[in-house]
Amino acid sequence: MSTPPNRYVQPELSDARVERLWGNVAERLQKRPANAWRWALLGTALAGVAAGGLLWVEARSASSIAGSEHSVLADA
Amino acid sequence: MNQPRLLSTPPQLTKSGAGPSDAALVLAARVGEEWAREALFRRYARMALGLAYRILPVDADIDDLVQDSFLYAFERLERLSNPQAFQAWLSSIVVRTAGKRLRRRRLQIRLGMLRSEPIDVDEVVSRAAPPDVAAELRAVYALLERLSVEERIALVLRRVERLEIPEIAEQMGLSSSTVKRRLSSAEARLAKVSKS
Repeated sequence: MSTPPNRYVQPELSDARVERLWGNVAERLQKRPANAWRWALLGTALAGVAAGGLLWVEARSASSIAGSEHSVLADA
Repeated sequence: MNQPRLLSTPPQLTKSGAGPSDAALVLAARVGEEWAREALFRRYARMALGLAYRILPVDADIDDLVQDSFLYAFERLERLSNPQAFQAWLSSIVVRTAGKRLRRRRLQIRLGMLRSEPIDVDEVVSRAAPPDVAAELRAVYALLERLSVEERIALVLRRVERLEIPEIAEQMGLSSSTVKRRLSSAEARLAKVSKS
């Protein structure tokens, strides 16, 4: 079998380079929150926004009902 | 289903010196064992560097590309349905990440944010290559910058990596028919360059 041409196109592959790259990858892995945590945080944030929105809508509709009751009473 | 037993410490090398299988390392890495990630990295860093360099032969750029590819892989290990297929999966991540880099680089060049530098063919192709192989590689690398990103990657995977069309399609995330079209267009240009 002939040698694949990729053997003749190679970057510098020293141990020092691999070592340095692993150091960078390990550091970046430690800095990043795990995927599950990221999704949990995003989920919590979205749930918070949704709950806030619901409360706001509820509060607005309650105040408009109260307002219309007042005007009905005033008219009477 | 029998799962390989997870180890909290790095296992000893097997008698053959091969060490634990990719599947065992992937399963350990999935539960956060750093030694398993490191073992996978050390096993495939050279393969990833080589592949990245052959697609994007600018030595300074490939370190970032390889780091990003491993980070992407380590954060999505649970998506790998066959843990023994880590090498092929990582290769496809490197190929797709290289594609994104090339597209970004081309956009930066078009916007004048980056200077276009031709590939130094003498630097890229080893002097140890037999004359016929060296001639083919020189022709391929002299042409790359003039091809679209998909044509370029398909041509490197076919002519340099010697992959078959279904393998190229898998690595690039394209259909075989799209790969065939990209390859035939790139091969036509290569033939024109080789004649002139």
